[in-house]
Amino acid sequence: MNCEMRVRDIMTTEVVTVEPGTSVRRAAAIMEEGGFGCLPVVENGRLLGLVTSRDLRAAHLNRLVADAMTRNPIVAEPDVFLWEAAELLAAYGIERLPVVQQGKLLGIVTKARLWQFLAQYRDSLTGLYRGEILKEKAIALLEAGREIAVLFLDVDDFGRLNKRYGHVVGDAVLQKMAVVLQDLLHRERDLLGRYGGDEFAVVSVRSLAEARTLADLLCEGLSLVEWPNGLSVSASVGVAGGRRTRLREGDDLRATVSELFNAASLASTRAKRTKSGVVVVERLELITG
Amino acid sequence: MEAGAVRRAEIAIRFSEFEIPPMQDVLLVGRRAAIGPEAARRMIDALSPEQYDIVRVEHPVVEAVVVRKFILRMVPPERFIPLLLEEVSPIISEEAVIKAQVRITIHVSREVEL
Repeated sequence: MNCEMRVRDIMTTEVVTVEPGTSVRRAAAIMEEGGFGCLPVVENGRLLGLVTSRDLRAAHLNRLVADAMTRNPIVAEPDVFLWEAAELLAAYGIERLPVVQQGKLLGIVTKARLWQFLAQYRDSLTGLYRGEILKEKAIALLEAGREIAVLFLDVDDFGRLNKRYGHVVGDAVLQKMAVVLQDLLHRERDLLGRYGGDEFAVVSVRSLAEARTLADLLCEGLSLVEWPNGLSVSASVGVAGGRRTRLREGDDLRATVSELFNAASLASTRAKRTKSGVVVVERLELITG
Repeated sequence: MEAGAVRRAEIAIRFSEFEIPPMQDVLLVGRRAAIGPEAARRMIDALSPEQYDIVRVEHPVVEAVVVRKFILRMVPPERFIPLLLEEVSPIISEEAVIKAQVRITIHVSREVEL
């Protein structure tokens, strides 16, 4: 498995569906017999809605499924990346994602199945995505013509902290840092991940100037936290960003994104070395045409 | 049964005309009624095709209003539906389907040059 896998690669294609004219009573029986949590409502192959066990509980048994279903459910196109599908499920607090192309139902993917594949791209200590997923997100944004920024956060003196207080305290600091950073970010604009040992990264759709402001906010946020053992913990942040202005066939977006991460990483190293405030901003030319 | 007893059946029949459709001008469908707006649409379309519209409404008790198209041509839905909901609110429940007869008279008064 690689993190470029898409929803069509893992979706279940043999989906039990009901027609809109099915009674709620019948749909409930199908769900109970099959142990399904929901049923897609389909007419001539087109997805009209989803009927969940909650929908059925709220509806009169004599009703048609069409009068009990959830209309306009959240769906995914088959080419959506697994991590994008996971973001959709998390954002809407749902368990299942119908896979639809031009209105036609192709399959369904559940949260459990998605996580079965994505688990290896989650950092087990913090629960955050690992670097590979962040890079895929960056590639997808550049492909869509979006301006992006990468923030690279390096915990100051983490090696010394680990040696002095031990790895258990060090791990607790990293876990707390993940929570604090996540709280300071905007779910729809920023994606946080753990890049390596004491390094975190954020892929953001903010402009470079906004990303710089965000970096300041993150540093300030970290300074206000009560850390384990009464420690004082800070981070050095490097920011790099830009917009891909021309797109040609065969352009290597992966290499471009790696350059961007590298520039942000070097900027964070420079910030740490020079203690020059905590943020160093680098502008990377992303014109590849 | 005792010997000599007599069994009788008394039959009363009342004939009346079946209304088509069996609803009148408006049907108000409660959120937990035994039939929903889609079922109502199918029933009405089978009996009186293209004569009724379904208007789904944001209301705590009423899910949708099935209304004769002709009425909405005389009074626009943004005027008619709120009025209807206001009047039915005190009597309708989530489980109910209520039919309503509506009579609209348009008064016109114009002046002409003599």
